Amino acid sequence: MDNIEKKLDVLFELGKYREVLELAYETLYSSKSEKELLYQYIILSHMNLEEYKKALEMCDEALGEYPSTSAYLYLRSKNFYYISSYKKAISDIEEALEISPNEPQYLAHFAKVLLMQNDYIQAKEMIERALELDSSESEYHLTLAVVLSMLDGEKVAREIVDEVLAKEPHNLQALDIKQKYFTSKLKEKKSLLQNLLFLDPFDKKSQKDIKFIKYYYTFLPPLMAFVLFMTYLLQSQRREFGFLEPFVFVGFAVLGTLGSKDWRLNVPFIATLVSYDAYFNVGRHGISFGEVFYIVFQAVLFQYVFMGAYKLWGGLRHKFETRLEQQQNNKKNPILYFLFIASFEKYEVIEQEVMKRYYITVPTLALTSLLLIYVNMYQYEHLYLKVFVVLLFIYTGIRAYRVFWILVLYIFGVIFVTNGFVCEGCFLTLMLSVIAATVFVIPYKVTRRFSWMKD
Amino acid sequence: MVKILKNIQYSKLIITFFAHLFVSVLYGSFLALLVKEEYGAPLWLSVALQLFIVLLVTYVAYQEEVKRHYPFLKAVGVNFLGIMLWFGVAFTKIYILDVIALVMVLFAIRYRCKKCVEYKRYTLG
Repeated sequence: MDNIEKKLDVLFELGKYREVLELAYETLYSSKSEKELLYQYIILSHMNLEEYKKALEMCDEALGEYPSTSAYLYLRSKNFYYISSYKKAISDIEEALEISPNEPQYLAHFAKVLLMQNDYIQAKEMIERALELDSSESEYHLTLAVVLSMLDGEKVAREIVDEVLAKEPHNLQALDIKQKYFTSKLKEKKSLLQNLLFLDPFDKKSQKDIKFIKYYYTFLPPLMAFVLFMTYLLQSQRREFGFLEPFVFVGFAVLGTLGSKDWRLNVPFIATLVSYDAYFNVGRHGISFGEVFYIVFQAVLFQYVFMGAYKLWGGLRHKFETRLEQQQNNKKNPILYFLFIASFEKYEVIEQEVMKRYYITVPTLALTSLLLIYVNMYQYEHLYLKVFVVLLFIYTGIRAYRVFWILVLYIFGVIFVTNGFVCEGCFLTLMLSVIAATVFVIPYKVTRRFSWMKD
Repeated sequence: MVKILKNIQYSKLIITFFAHLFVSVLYGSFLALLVKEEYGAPLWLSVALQLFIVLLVTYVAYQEEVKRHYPFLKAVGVNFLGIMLWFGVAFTKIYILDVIALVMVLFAIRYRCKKCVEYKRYTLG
């Protein structure tokens, strides 16, 4: 038996799980010796081969023979976790913790399951208990970082990840978390991805993401320059190039959407949009300076609409994942490839629930923005329409849960009152905006699914 | 100074500012009006008082938010309590009681509920 154990250990360490399974099954059903360890090898091998249902069957079998062994309960809970049956995972791990309450591994796993159930407070409690028992495991620290970031403690979370990376610069998990959640700059993300790729050269995800960043900076600035040139033509020689107007508009929308990933790329873009509006509307039609403020606000608003559209695009991309894979393999059309891959990471971050929110928010917001322009620029008399627009804004504010919308609500309220159309309903609408803004100010909380935990 | 400015979490500060703007403006403007109308304070003083109250509320809330989790319901609760206390004071017509109401609101901001967990770090041993 000792010999078989050693053999199984070596095979398992080498990652030859099929062979481990063959040997373990053979020994399990042929001999009557100690089966506890064999079950563990079988379950772990199935888990490593992502055969979770088989692993679950073996867990049940093992628990039939050794009902008071907490390790099987823990493994079964892990399997339930992988197949997203979180409630079963919780009941199993709770049972395991009743048998052995001071097992940091169990506590850390419990924290992960609770994290998926969005119970961040209890998850924090569990992971802290695990850390009190064993603070040398970097995985626990990283889980705590994720929990803290969910509880709006991003600064501390970032510090934890940095600390782990300072001690273990090649920690795959830490690098992955940092590039996914704590890095907004694409260049920094790229260097982290390169590190990841250096450690695991066959990581397709990192390869894909690096490629995206490369394409992003290669294609986007020239495309932007092209649209800006079209705008110049439209402004300077309107007679000849008047037909360009719809193309310029679509160009602004598409590039603004793609460019919203890196705001620096959008600065000249917004500046052009503002100056374009200022030149035509203020310069030619004699619109007051107060309106310029409104135009700036409008440009920023569009930027956020683009950002929302960008996220929506990410969700849609997730749906057409298989098609994209084919497109990537063909690589015949680099621009199309670039357009498809533009939302590379969003689908992982944004959960279904949030996606639903964006499906509603983005079109509503687009409609609201259009109405806002219509109401403020041309139709000053339509009070009811104004109230409707404010209500729409409040609604989008509620849906979007972002501090930006609160800002929008306030700015909108201020514009409403100061823009020269003080009226009976204005105070009410302003108050409504303020109340909605106050009530719905929620720090941005995205219930995320963490794919890295399943790795 | 640069270090302090660098350490400020601006996104959190903005969130805090807007989350408590309603209650801070409510008390700020009302107390400013009170000192101006009732006690004949100059305009600059009343404006300064208003600004001071807005900044004070934001500061207290920000200090709380950087150290601990600040649940959404707490923000709603604080604003709601502020309105209710304000109405209570308006009902008694002893407007100076608003000072006490403001202090109560500040204490409500500092109240640590079960969900207000601390952002604690453990050293990687």
